[in-house]
Order: sequence, then C-alpha cells, then structure tokens
Amino acid sequence: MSYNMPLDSPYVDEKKKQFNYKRRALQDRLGTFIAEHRKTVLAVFCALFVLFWFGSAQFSLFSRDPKIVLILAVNDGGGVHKWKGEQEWAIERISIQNKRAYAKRHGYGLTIKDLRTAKRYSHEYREGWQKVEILRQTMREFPNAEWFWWLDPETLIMEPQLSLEKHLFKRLDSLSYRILDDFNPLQLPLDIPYVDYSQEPELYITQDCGGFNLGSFFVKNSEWTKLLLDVWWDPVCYEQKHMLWEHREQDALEALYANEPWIREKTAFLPLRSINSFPSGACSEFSDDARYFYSEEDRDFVVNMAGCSFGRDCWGEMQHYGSIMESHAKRWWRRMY
Amino acid sequence: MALRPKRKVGVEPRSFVQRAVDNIKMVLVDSKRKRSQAFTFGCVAAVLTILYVLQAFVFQKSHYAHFLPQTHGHYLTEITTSRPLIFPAIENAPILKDLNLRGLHTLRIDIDGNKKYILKEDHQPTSDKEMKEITDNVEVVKRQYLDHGKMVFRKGSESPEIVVVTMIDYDNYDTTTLISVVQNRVDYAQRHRYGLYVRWAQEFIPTIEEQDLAKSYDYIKPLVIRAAMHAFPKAKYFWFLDQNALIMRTDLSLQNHLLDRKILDLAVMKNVPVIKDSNIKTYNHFVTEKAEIVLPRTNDGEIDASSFIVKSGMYGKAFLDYLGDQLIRGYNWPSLSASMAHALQWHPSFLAKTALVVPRTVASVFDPSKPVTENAAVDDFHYIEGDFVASFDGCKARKSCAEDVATFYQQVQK
Repeated sequence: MSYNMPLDSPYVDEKKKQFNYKRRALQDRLGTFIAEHRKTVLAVFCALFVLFWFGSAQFSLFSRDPKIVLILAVNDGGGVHKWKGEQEWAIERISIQNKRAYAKRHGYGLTIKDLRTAKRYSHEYREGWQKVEILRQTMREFPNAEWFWWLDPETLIMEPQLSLEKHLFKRLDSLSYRILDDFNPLQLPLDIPYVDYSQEPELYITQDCGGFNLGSFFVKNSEWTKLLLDVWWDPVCYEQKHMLWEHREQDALEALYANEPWIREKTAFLPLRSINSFPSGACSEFSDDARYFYSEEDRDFVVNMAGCSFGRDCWGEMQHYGSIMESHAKRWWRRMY
Repeated sequence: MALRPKRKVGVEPRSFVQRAVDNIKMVLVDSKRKRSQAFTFGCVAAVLTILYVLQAFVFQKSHYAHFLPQTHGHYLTEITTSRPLIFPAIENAPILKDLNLRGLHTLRIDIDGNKKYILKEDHQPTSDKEMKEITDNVEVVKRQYLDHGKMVFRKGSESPEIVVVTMIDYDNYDTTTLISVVQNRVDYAQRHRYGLYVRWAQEFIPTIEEQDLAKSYDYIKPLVIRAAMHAFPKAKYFWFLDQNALIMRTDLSLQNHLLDRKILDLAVMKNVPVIKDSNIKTYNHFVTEKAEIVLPRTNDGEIDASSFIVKSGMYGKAFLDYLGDQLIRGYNWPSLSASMAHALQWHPSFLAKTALVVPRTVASVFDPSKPVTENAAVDDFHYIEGDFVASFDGCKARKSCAEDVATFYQQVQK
C-alpha cells in the first residue's frame, strides 16, 4: 500500500462526519451555553440594547463634561434690510474656526447658536432678546458646565495659547471690580440699599464707553442665573422703556443692576480689555482713552469688532486682526522658510 | 571678613570706586567663592519673595477695603438693638400728623418746580444723651421718627425664626387704633418669641417716586419687608400683616399653623389659575419644601396682598426686589396684588417657589354682612370665630376700620 493511494471512502466519510459533528457541536455548545446562562445573556442583551438606545455617552466612565462652555452666536443682523454678503460669510467662518480651535485646544465645550430668528425679526423688538433664550437653552444642554462664555460673532480670540483658567479664573479677585466708582459711563447709582457684597459674583460683564457690553461675558451655571434669565425680560419694564432702551437686553440689565440689589450683589465687572477689547473704530469719540482699545504690545486676549456693521468695514477689521494674530503665532523657525 | 579680598602688600591703594567694583566682581563672579555667592543670591531671592508676598497681601487688603461696602439699609449709619421687637412710639402719631412730611423730611424743588421729598442717607442717629438734652418735645418726636428706620436687630447667634412685619399710617388712623394693632402684634410675637418689625408708611415716601401715600401705600409693602429682612438678617420667615388686620388666635404659632411642611401641603392650591381667568395655573407637582413665597388666594381668584409670608432666601428677596423695582412699582397697576400676579404669570421661576394657599390660613376676611359664629355655614374665605387672623380688607370703603379693630381687639383681649 503506497502512500499515494487515494484515501479510502469509509475513512473520508468518517472524517466528514466528524467534521460535521464538530461543527454541529459548536452550535450545540453555543445553544447549550445560552440555555444554561439564560438570565446572564438576557441581562447582557438588555445592557447592550440600553446603551444603543440612549447612547453610550451617558454611561461611559471616562466621558467628562466640559467645565467651561463657549457660546458663539452667529448669523445675526441682516434680515430684510441687508442681505448677507460673501464677506459676512467669510467673517463668520473665520470666527467659528477661531473659537473651535480654542475650545479644542483647552478642552472647553463650544456651542454655536444661530440667531436666525433675530434676523427674521430684525426690525422688531425681539432681536436682542434671543440671547436670553439661547443662554437658557445652552444651560439645559450642558447641565454640568460651570461657566458659560458668551461671544458675539465679530470676535477673535487673539491669544489662543492662554487658557481661561490662567488668564481669568485664577486672578478674578484682583482683576474684577464690583463698585463703579472708578469707571461709570452710565452714571449709575454707586450704592443702593441691601446689597450684600460678600456674595460670590456669578455674572462677569464688561463696560464700554456707552455702558454695559454684552458682546463677551461670563455667566455661571446656577439657580441665580436661571432666575436672572427669567426676570431679565419683563413686558412691564419693556413697555415703559422700549423707546429708550436702544440696546434692548443690555439696557434692561443696566436697569436691573441699578435698581435690584439681588442682581447687583452677584454682578462683577471685568476691564474691557481683558475679554472684550475694541478696535479703534468702536467708541471712536473716546479714541484717546486706552482703557477701551486693543493693544498689540499688551497682547490683549480677545478683540470684539463691536458695531462694525454700522458704517465700518467688518471684513477689513477682521483681516487686520487676523493677520496680527497670525504674526503672533509665528515661530522663530518659520523665518528660515 | 570673607567678602573682602585680601589686599596685597605693596600695591598702591586704588580709588574707592575701583575697589567697590572689584569687591562686587569678587562676590558675584569669582569661581573660588561659590558658597558666599550662593548665600548672596539666596538672600536677594528671599528678600524679593518676602517683598512680593507682602505686596500681594497689602494690595489685596486695600483692594477689598476699598471695593466692598457693608450691607446697609436706606441709611448708612444704623442703630443696633438686641430687642427683637422693633416698633415706633405710637403715642407720637398726633404730633407726627401735625408735623406732616413737610416737617419731617427734606423737600427738594428742582428748576422745573417739581417738588420731591428726599432721604438723607448719611443722616446721623441722635444718641440718648443728646436726646435728653433736647427740650422741645416736637424735635424729640421728629428725631425718634427719623432714627426709627435705622434700627436693626443684631444679637450674637440668637435670632427669632419668624418676624411679623406691619406698616402703620399716622395720617389715616387714630392713636387708639394704632395702639391696638401694634399691641396685638407685640403680644403675639412675645408669646412665640418671634420678632416684630413695625414701620411708619410715611418713612418710605422719600425713597419712592410717586410720593402720594394714598396711591403708593400698597407698593411700599415690599419695601417694608425688605427693610425687615435687613433688620433681622438671620430670621427665616417674614410675615407681612397689614394694619387692617388682627391676629385673633395668639396661641397658634405660625410654624405649626401653616409653615409645617405637612400642613402647607394641605393648604397649598395646586393646578388653579394664578388669578381669575388666567391661563397660567399653579404647578401640579409643586414642591412644598422649596416654597419661599406663601400668598393667600381669595375666593374671587385674586392674590391677597394684606397678609402673606416671604422666606428670606434668594427667591424671596428677588421677588421683593422685583416688586419694589421702580419700573415695576411705577407701572399703572390697579393694586399690589395685580403686580404680584403679573410676576407669577410671567416668571415661572417665581411661580415654582410660590405656594398659593387657602385664605383662611392667614387672611380670613371679615364681612359684617356674614355671620361670624363658629360653625357658621360660610365659605372658607370669610372670617368665622376661631380663625387665626381677621382681616378687615375693604373697611376703608365701609369707613369702619377703627370700629372693626376696636370690636375685634376686645375679643382678642378676652
């Protein structure tokens, strides 16, 4: 019997049989396994199902909600009066890109909110009030965030390497001020009864030459903030003042600050240039006052081209500050190229 | 001297400057003197660190001292008292009426001829010694009146938990009625170790724009409660009770009668329109523990602003500040209860913290046309014997306020 001899059929059959048997046994074994551990398998299945259904994000041990969330409002203004042009789209893109890179670099959250409703009603009073709605909406979206940073679309973060903790939160005490004795463009009352200044501030805003500026401000995620957002817009106040309150929600906040101690005791102010520097075009009647304007030597953190769409060149300003930022970000080895 | 180089003998003495430069070089640069160099640099570093720390400390201190004023009321200087019953001398009412606002406050007339009473925030209190030296009785009364607003209760950690707040008016009420009203509160507060805070309504006239008392009377209420909160910073609840009301059952404590969670749960009205015909209803899933504002809702579907309770929390204070805001206060409301109803309907955060309760709890209204005997078959809104409070809401229209107070005060005294 040579080794080349074909295998005899009984042997092959036997082998096939064995093979089939084995295969069957695998299924069998799986079947018996499931049958034996019915409850465990059910539990695992349920767990997987739940994960699939509700998304894994909520169950993951390692997912960490951002402590600071940037809110960027885009698509404002325009409406029926003015169409959105090519340059405005470009400005919006640059602005979003700038914030996205910053948020990513430091692990902050970023939410981009469309002010389209404002656009739709731009000739009506509802325009500015969307800010309040958006803040509330964002608070629901990020219940675990600690701080929200509102940013208008025409802003650029000029020093993206600086984290907010380092730039701001670690030195809030020395940087911020609670009493308007030094700088009070609106001549608001300096002191009203019942204000308890021992409270920690939960709203940090800036003042420009015309009063409060809400182009860039910080607000804490708290009960107080929710109540403020609720009380901020009130038809009774607005009915009396809508002809005078040119800046809607800004003026309303000024009135609340002036009259209601529970709001005043948790509001603090930051110098304009710390989070909201102006270009030379804004506040132009005070052009010799260094408190307002972006300074390249001092490396101001954020520039806000506030009001650039009212008779100024937004695109030009955006390009100007964009190029300054790029030159700052340039490294020494780049010169070799 | 380790730091000074040894002078070689025979070398000419050099100039002072040259020697100094050599010394510095020796100390800082010479490689042979590493230890002393390390010591020098260490000293410099230590001094700089200490200076930096001191400077930061000093700066921060001045920063706070400069920026954060103390919490104060309408007056900057205050008189502290350890008596929890703060009420003015009622017997002065006739003299105050004679003096009138003209005699009591400063009237300012601007260029356009608008007359306005103003409050001097920095008005200094008169000390007891000075007061004794004044012989003119009218002047004493005036000083007492002006100083009454400066009284605040401060006493270590002790504080009453509940403060009864009442606003009285010397123009439209005679002394007997006012004494009955205040004595009733004093008896009640003393019995349960509560605080009492009574102010003249006229004291607040200079702080508001509409300076006609008849028009503004209602809207001064939130201001009085806010002043009481400042006067009793550690008290929890503030019960405002109008002068047209008497506490009929001084044996009932407010905690057991209403503020206990279980009892409040029974008294609270859920899922009812905030005011008559409103689309906004009170929350069905209202959390009683978190209630900071307790308002009685009358059978006619109105909020009763003559007797209500506000907790001294963020929402309670915000609610009062909101009602006392000059923009809200100055609006053309029919009554304070309308402005409260507005606050609840437009601001869900307030509504979520407001318990609308059945009126019999703290605001049973006396109606002379209805029987008042116990078990009388009247609704749960009008006063019958055995109720906690008798409110004489509407007595101004009947012109029977003094008479009502007198009759009912006799009943309490029994």
